[in-house]
Amino acid sequence: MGSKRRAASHFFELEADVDSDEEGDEEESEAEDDFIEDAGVDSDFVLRRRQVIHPQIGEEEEEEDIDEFERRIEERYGRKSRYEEEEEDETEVFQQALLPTATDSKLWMVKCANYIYIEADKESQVREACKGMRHSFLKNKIAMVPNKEMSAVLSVKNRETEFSKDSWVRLKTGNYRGDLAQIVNVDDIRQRVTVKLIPRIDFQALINKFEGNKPLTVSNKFCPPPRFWSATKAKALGIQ
Amino acid sequence: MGTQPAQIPTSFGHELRACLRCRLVKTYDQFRESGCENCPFFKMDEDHERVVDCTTPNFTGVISVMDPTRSWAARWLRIARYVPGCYTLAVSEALPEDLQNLCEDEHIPYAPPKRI
Repeated sequence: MGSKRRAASHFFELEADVDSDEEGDEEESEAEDDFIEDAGVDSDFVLRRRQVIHPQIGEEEEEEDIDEFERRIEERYGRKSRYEEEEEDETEVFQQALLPTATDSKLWMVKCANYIYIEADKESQVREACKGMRHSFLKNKIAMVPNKEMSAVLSVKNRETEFSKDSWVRLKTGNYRGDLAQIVNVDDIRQRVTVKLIPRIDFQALINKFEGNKPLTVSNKFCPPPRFWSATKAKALGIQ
Repeated sequence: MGTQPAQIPTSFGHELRACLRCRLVKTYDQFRESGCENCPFFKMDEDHERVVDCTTPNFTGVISVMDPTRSWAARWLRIARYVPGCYTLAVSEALPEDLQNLCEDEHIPYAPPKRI
């Protein structure tokens, strides 16, 4: 099973504790209900690829109007939950109670370019759902995820602390590989960070550029040492 | 139960965003045009600035849920009460404070992502 575990974590990049917050404490009450109701419900998919879902859109309840939808949302969330004051520890305990049981549908791992996981009761249903998928090789690449590993498949590491302003990072590529830098700005929208570091300026390359010479291909590997900018030195070299 | 499903993302590129409350994943344009199916009170379709405030491009893992009420995965991820659709496993940012207040005013449960 060890290899399957690795495969799972590979797919999600990061493996860590399940951290699916205490979202919707109110949800818990219903989730608990589901838990019981689900026992004995058989077969059918609960989860499929989006292409499979697609044809269903508009099939049902097309006439349902927005008011009705809003009313239902309000009905769902309009009440304060008795769980709302629940302590965090208790929530952790509750999360444990959500672990899959024998009556839950299974997770199936399908090998394609990476791995995809499909929740279904039977392998035949997974094969049916995967029909026509371009990159899945269905011959013998469907494996059932053991119950105790199901939650690991859905866990991701919280990446919040990875990049924050003023924190320190080390660059991984280019001339500045291995250098320490400080984050001065994080742009979540464009998914970029701006860093401040000690420059490694190749004065010779600059001079060559100013003089219109072609860059020296031989010295491509040269990595200038880190130095603070010196106007004096630049001037001495004829760079203004 | 026949809940109307959420829109399915029209692309899987960089324009994908996840709702900071319910973790529904759609494109920026879809949120802008139709809002969030689980969180209509954010009124993202009326105020486009809201889309930027209520959603994030930073999320990890995508799950497509057809029948949230019967799915173990949906229950585990606490999305069993939302409409069928594509969701992310985790967002890392919290909802801005003014919008958290809005949730509170409307008695909408909101749980920020937990820090490790």
